[in-house]
Amino acid sequence: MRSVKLETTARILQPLILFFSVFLLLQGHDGPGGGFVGGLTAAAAFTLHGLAYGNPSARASLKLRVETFAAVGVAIVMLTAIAPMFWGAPMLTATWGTLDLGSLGTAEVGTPLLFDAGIYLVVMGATLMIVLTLGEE
Amino acid sequence: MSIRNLSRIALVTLAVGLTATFACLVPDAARGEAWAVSAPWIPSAELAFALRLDALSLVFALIVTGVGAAVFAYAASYQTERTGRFHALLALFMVSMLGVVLADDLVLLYVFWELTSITSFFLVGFEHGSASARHAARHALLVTVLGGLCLLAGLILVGAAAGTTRISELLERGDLVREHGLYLPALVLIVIGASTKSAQVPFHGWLPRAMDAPTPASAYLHAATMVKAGIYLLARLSPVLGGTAAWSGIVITIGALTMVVGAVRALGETHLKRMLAYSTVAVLGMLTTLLGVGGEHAVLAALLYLVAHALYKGGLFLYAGAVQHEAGVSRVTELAGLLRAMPRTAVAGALAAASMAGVPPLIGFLGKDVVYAATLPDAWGDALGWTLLGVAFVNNALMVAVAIAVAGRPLLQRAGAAPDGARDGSIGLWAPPLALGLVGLVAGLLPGSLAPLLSAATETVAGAPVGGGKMALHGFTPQLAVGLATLAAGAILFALRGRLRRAGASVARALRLEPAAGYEQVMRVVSWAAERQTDLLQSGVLRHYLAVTVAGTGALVLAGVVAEPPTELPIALAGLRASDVGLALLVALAALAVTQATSRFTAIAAMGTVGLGVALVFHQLGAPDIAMTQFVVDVLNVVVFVAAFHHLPRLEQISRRRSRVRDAALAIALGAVMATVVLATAATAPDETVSDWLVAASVPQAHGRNVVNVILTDFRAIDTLGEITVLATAAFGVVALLRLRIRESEA
Repeated sequence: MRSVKLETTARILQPLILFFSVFLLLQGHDGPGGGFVGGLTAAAAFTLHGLAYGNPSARASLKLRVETFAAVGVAIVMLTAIAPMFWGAPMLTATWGTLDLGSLGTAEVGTPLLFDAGIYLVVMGATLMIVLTLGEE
Repeated sequence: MSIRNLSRIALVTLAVGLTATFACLVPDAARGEAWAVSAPWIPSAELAFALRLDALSLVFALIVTGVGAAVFAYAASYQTERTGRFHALLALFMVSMLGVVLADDLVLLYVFWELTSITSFFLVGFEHGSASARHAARHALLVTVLGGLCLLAGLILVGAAAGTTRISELLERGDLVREHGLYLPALVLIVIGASTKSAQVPFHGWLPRAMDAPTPASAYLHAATMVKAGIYLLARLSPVLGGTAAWSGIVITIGALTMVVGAVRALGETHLKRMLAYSTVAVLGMLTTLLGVGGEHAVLAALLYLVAHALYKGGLFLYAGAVQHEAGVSRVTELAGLLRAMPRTAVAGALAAASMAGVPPLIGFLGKDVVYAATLPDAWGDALGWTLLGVAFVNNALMVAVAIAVAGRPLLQRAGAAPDGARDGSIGLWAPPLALGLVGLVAGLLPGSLAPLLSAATETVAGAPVGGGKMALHGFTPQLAVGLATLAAGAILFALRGRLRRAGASVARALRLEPAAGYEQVMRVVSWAAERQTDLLQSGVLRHYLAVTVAGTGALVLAGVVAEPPTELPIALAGLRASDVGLALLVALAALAVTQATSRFTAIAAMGTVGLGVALVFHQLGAPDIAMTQFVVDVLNVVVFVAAFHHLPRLEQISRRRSRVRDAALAIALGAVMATVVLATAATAPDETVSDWLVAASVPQAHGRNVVNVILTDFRAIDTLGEITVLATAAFGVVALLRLRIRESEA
């Protein structure tokens, strides 16, 4: 059962939602957002794709298996947690630096952002694992 | 060069090198010298990675590496599939076992102890395609790990009683431990640990079953080394725990029982490897008994017999493996004509079996001689001495019969040809057992070579040295007479083996003495209990779980409210905005619609409305993060529901009047309780130190202006770490269950 309206909507909305999810992730430290809601939003983008084109198409558009996203996310979270211990600092110690973006100004980047990116991937992967598998049953 | 040969060369070189290194230390260790290294491990718990090598450790280390070298050389010819994995496991085991005998810290010893159990598990279950190997592996693991936990508890008690976990310090504080109130529990727990590992009655059943392991592993772990870990532990701790009535009562009883059960069962077997396994059980029982008796003579006898056993039993297993490998025979009754068919293998087997039987001048004879020498002086004294001598005599006579059955008869009997195609395998299959046999021969001829080290080791266990003369042959002594009588009695037992076996089998049947009967019984009870409690707690109906969760939460909160009733419930309507009222009405109406919906689709849509309404409430209250998350969660929830709902039964069927009334009552009760709590909370003035600190510290310390996110990713990041892990694990679980359903519906 295909719906042209839904497909067209999805085609326009999916990239926008995905961009928005990355925006949520990046601005989360200073404004509303964060890895959790960002990951959920990304999952919603692919869920929309699945509703419009079917779940196999949604899986194909992800390039990697959804399980991989969740696993890589957990790995990133764990690594950012453990890494400071190699320098003798307590687990999960945050490190911050300033990134020079030239004419755009400067941006503060730190390991919590990496940690948040891991959360983003876990939430997105875990949600899609459940949503897409349920739809295939 | 294949990986198989590469790993063989590496392993054999490692083991030979270690053996040579340890051998170089023998003269110094025999003079009582010890070497210790220590590195901080868990400083906060005062645990150190402390190793110490003294004479006793050296005896065991030499066995571990020496027999290891023979087994590694053999393994590459024996195991032809998955050799890399097999060699890796053997090497891991060798390191763990060395750790057990070298550890100078109780906790470190426990860690290595468990590592040997785990490597043993993987080696027993190496042929994991076979159900019996898997069951045997699980049996061995459960028994030894259960014992390991008892051991840990016992070691902690001993450590607490002595005020140290460092073994070398502990040995100085034996009196402190023996007079402590926790002495008896600690002793019992440690003896249980040692008994499970060293296959003592009633835990011995796992060892014969473990014979499903590839033969090199059986020779190494389940004959020469790992099963001696319990013996090592008892010997190591006997200066601390030994010398009391409780010690000798418990340890001697267990050891003597094990000795008899093992020896009788060994003669009753016809399966070659299991026969050897039961005879190992018997020997382990004898070693335990000797340590229970204590005193320098018994300890020396135990250590010498331990060395002899490692040499001959390792050799016999390698011989058995070669016979099985080349002739394809696993029962002793089918073996014959080996001298002609596979002469080198047969000679290696005969040498080991002669040592087992105690034929002079092999080391096994010497071992038996010293055992009798240790038990004889006591025998003149009291009934216990007589009993021990009698048990040792019967045990040794049965060992003689087993030795004849395993290697003597197949070698000598001409009647009945060897199986077709049986011939000596490659050099790797016959040279290692032959080498072990020759070492036993040389050690038997030159007992002086072993005496100083064993004497020093005895001193560390029993506190007193033994003169070298105790170990040499000195004319016609009483123990020599008993030794020769043992050989004769063994030959008679062998001649009567058919009748004995039938009698033994009927006794075993009558007493239900199958090797794993007790274990299987326990496992049946465990799974029965698991099923009952699953039936009780897991109905499998989602609504029941929800009802229990809601009722349970409500009851807990209610208990809190009742215990500390709120003084006032302020209902402040002053600051209420029209939009608030509208939202509340929307949510309430949508919730009502959910309960009244006749189609599931309507119910789902109404529930989505509830969720979105709540998200708007959050937004109104100035929590955009939560509102946003709630919003996306609810959207996805609706999708999940729609995807899942055509698998669920129709709505009318599950909503009977009675259950609706019950659910409504439950919901109203929970709502009332929560409303009370919320109102009561509003009346209190919350302590704001924490939230003030978080808001103040957010920018300077965490470079973030969104406090919620700063808490999640920085201040309380460890909570998030846990939650994320749970989330990912749960998702994998859900997908596994769903896939299972999909596969079932397709099948």
